[in-house]
Amino acid sequence: MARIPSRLLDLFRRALGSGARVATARESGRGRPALLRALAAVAPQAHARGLRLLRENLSAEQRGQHEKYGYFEVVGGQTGRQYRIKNGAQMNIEMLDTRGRPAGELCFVPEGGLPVGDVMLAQKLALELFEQDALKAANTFPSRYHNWSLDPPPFGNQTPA
Amino acid sequence: MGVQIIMDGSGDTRHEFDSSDQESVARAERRFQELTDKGFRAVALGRNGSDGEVLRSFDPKVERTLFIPQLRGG
Repeated sequence: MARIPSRLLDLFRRALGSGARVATARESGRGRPALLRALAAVAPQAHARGLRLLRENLSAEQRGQHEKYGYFEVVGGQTGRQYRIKNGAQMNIEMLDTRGRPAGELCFVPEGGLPVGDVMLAQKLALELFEQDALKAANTFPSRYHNWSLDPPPFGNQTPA
Repeated sequence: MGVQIIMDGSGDTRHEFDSSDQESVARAERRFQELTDKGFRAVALGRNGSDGEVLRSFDPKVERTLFIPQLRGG
């Protein structure tokens, strides 16, 4: 059975958080299934706690959005700008334009390899309560989907040949 | 009763304190100071997801305080 590169294992550990214990094939002596068992056994507890903390602290509207769509929206406490926080721990925040369309992406996370629910709650509270500090820490990217504001009108301004 | 909730790799760690007990309040205040000195942000959580508030100093009357680790670009 092929060995899993240590770099990949390191990424797994980072994704699971500092509390995760991921055994290598050599450590466990039982090959790849040990890794999968470790992922299944450890991660869900932390992730379940994180998701519970998140749900406890979403507004009723945000909770409804999250259950239905897998994301929820927040309003920036200082700019009034709207953001969409999607399930995930990285590259999971969309800045929305005034018509609610994706206009860019933000990426910031709390330090410490936290479970996804904690990351999303930290992102929500940061944008609602200390938005400018969050924006200072964040990396920003153009929207993956569409830059509506720069989009030329379809077939507009074209001179027939 | 108050509770301090610290985000960590296990999801969160909770420390309860009795706001009528001086020793318990002093311990909670020390924990608040240590965490904020490390760069954690303290937020008084609202009820049912209502607006919270950033805490600049320890307030024993706050029922639920969440400590968020320092943010960094991802």
